Amino acid sequence: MDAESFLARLYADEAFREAFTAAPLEVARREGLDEREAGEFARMDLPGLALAAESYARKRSGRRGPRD
Amino acid sequence: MNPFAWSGGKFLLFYAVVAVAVIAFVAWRARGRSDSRVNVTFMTSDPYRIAYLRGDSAEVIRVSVFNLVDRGLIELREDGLLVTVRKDAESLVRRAIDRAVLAACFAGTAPEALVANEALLREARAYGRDLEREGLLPDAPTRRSRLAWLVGALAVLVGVAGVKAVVALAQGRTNLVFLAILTVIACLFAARASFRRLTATGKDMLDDLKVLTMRLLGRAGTLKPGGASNEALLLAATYGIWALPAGAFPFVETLYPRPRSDGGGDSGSSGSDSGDSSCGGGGGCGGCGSD
Amino acid sequence: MDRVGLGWRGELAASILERLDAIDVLEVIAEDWTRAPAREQRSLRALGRERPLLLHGVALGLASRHAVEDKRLAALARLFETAAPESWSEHLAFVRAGGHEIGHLAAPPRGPASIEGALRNLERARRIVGTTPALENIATLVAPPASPMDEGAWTRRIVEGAGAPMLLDLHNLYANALNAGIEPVALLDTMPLASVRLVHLSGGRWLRPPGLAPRLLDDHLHDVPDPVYTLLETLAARVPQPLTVILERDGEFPAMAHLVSQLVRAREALASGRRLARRAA
Repeated sequence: MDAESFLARLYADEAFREAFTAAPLEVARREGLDEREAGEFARMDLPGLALAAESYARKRSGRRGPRD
Repeated sequence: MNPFAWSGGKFLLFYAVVAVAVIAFVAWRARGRSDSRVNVTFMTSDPYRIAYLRGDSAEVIRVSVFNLVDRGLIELREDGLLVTVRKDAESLVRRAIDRAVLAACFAGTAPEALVANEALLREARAYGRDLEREGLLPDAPTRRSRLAWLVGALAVLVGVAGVKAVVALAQGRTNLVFLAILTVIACLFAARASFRRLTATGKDMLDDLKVLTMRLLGRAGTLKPGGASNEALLLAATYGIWALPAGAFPFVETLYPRPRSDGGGDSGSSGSDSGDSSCGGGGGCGGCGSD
Repeated sequence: MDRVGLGWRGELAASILERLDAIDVLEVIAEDWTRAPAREQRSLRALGRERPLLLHGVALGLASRHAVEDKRLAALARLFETAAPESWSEHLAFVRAGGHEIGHLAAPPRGPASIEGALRNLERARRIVGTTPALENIATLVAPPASPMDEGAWTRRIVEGAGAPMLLDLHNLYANALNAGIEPVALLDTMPLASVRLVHLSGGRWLRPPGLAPRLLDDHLHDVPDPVYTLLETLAARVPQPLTVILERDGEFPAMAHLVSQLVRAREALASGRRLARRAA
């Protein structure tokens, strides 16, 4: 998995995000990120990730189409 | 390959095809070409123009009554009469139709009597002339042109049927009932297609207004009564007074009970000319990258 | 000449049409219309006869190593042709990857992969839609990991690499700067200012999670904060080219007079910035 897809999954998949938050480096390695990327993800701003993911989840649930 | 020599059923089919083609042609001529020179703000700057375009003179009066009641300038008394509440009411409005309605209500008038009041109807018809000038309603030359095309179409429809009738009678066949019925139906459809109330420009204008205000209609329940903004008036003009939510505008049903055939959208006489718009556009991006 | 306009929101239709005297341009969200029937899309032409129309995309996900789907670009191209806007814009963001739909604009890892992907996507967008979009910086609550470049350098590489105009969202910039603990003007200076043609103004609110530092959320539901007008003034003082400024408001709509007062403030900030530039010259 590339870093971008990994980040998208962190935002969109709650269970995956929880697993990552519990063991960032292991999950990043397991998903195929290279050592440098895995290390950078492991050091990422986890509270920021939670806030952003929560915000995106609200967006997904509240999305309006053109006919709404 | 002479269709007039064809047997009854085959000729009726031929005639039906001819009739459809003639009616389609008449409808196409009557519709004309859409002309985009008229701005939507020409309409929104005086929403009564929209009410007239969608409906008729009576609809303009209904929307004016709605507006004046919403603004608290007239009110419906318990005896069922509309009365002007403030002596200075006329100085608070700027459109002639509103002033005329206020004047008509000084002595107290039933809502239904207002939409039949000849002086008010005359005032409202001025909007029709405005709309004709802008090409949104057919003007006299357009109506004459439509009539000429209709006469031509009727001549074709009656002529083809007539030739067949002569040929059939010459051959001793007298059963022309189905042909006569088909001819009358075709002529009626041709006339109906010819007398479209709106021009193509008018129909496009009405459709545009509905598309652009659809989202506003969606939040009509949150509009504050009292004429604080032009939103309720614009919606009433565009969709009819019965499109406004009864919760926010409970007086509408008392003033003018919704006709049983009204589906909740248009009122007036142009239902068949109205588009079914559903967009309106305006979700926004809702914040870039967040919330 | 500088212009100031407003994002078209159907909910504000009556008010906007009534106050066009205060509005130079209108910006329409593309995705509100891409799935609408052609007849409804044509109504945008009626709007375009009132004021120049700008189309604003929010869902392509151009800044991605993954290719934007053809059908999205084709839908946008159809809308572009039908609505005949003056120009269009999109975000420097990704919105989906690896089969995961984020649901909104997100900052991708800022590195060579997203730069090359963005340039490829922009070339396809230009080919299919017919013109290159103006590119907008986004707000993010979290700095994207695996990012060897900072936001300014990454943005410059894409904007200049694509030869695209930039839509500089000053509230996004302001929020990112505050959330990262840097001076907004310092972040402004890292952006490709010579390419800026369009500017977005909006508002947001502070999130105050317990035990954590507060963060500014760009939500388009609040008034433009004062420092953002100051940033606009600074921008107008630093660049010579005409700017088109759009106020974005997506909900909790105030009275139109209040929105118009924000447009007036934007005009004043622009004028003040231009005066500063003239004085400095």
